[in-house]
Amino acid sequence: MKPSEDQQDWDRSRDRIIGLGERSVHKNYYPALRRNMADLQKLMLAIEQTTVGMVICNHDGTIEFVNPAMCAMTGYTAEELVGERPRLYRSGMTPPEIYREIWAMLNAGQPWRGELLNRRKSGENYWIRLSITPMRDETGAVTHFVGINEDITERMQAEERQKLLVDELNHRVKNTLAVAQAIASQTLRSAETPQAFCRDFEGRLLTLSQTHNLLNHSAWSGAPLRDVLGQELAPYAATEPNRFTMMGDDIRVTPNSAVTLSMAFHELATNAAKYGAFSQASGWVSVSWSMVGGRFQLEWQERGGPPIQAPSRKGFGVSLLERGLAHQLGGKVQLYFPTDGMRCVMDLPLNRLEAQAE
Amino acid sequence: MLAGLRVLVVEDDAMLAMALEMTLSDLGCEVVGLASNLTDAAPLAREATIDGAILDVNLSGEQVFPVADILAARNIPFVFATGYGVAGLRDCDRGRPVLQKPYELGTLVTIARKWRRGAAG
Repeated sequence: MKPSEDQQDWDRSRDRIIGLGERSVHKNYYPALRRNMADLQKLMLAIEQTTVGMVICNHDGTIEFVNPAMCAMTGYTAEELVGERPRLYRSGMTPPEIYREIWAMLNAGQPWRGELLNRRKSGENYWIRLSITPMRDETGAVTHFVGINEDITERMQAEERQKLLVDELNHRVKNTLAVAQAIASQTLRSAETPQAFCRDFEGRLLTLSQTHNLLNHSAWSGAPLRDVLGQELAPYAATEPNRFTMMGDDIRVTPNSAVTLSMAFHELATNAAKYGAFSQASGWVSVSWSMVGGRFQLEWQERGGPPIQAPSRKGFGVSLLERGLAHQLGGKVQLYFPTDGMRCVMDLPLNRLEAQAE
Repeated sequence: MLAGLRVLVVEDDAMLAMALEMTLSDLGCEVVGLASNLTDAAPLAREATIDGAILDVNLSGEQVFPVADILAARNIPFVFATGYGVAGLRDCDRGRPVLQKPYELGTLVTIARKWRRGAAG
């Protein structure tokens, strides 16, 4: 293969530099020497200004030269590094086999490339992509090794974060499948017909999915209570305004609380649509809450609907409210069925409900 | 077939806890405790009369392992429930039975049957 022009230029410069000693005695060589000095200077500026760390070691591995980027990367000065061995900035986390492999390659006259964890003078570890090449003199004998170090810590950290995210996502998918499984098995218990099962299951699954959408806005750190409640109530106010009111200072609830509360509000709202305030145009629901003395107290009150009576058996909704929600958040949930409108009162410890600040 | 087996359930998700509770009572087990966090689970694990326990590994960011240690010290068998697979367990818990999410009823029954034998023997 024909060498590129750059390569040819480089070869010529190198020949001149290497040949300097013997040719410089010639009296006609001064202009060439000046050119060589300019080439050398360019080379030195490149080595000084490049962002990759460069180390030259002699054949027994003692550092003879480092460039400024290498000093910046390791945190050591050139004076501290020259005369030492590269083991000075080892992290101690790289298996010894790797170093054996490196020396085996170098001793065989072969370059080594790979990724290593090293340690800065400050004690901080950093990842590098390292390429070490044996340097030969004119006779072909290996006299030095040149190491090119590129700091890839940011990339490695990004990969680590991505791995954690994938693991977390996988866990969330599995957990969500388990929740869907639990919803299915419990919907089946109270469904009277296959059609009723499909309708109820779909509604609950959609609530779960919409709550996940809400949580995605905050990267799963929590969701505003007003949004959790609003998403369940809003569909009933689509055609008729003033079907519901929400009163209370907004609070961000934990992802788990958001999921369970949204399921609970879904049950209350669908119950209201079937038997309560949302089953006729005159009905409305008022939801009010307060945070006092470490307690979160919420009241769901239905008005203007048809006369109601207490359910004859405890379905999924009642179990979820009285058992599930109360158990998960360590509080108390009570349901009242006076004829003029259903009422649900939640009394939950605020510390279990409230999300940490973003 | 698992009638009378006393089971502790530690699970932070309300829906999963309810479903497990119902499944276990369908199987004839008695759920002696339902806890959603370490604070509630630890005294139950220490004091309740239990034949076996189902422990969700991740309880809203807390890990269930202190409860596992209490049960192990009392020689009470338990199964970890997790969506992470065995990778989410401590080295000392490798070899413990694991119930993958979503749950397979057959696996739960197989594991709980061994508790039954343990309780009888």
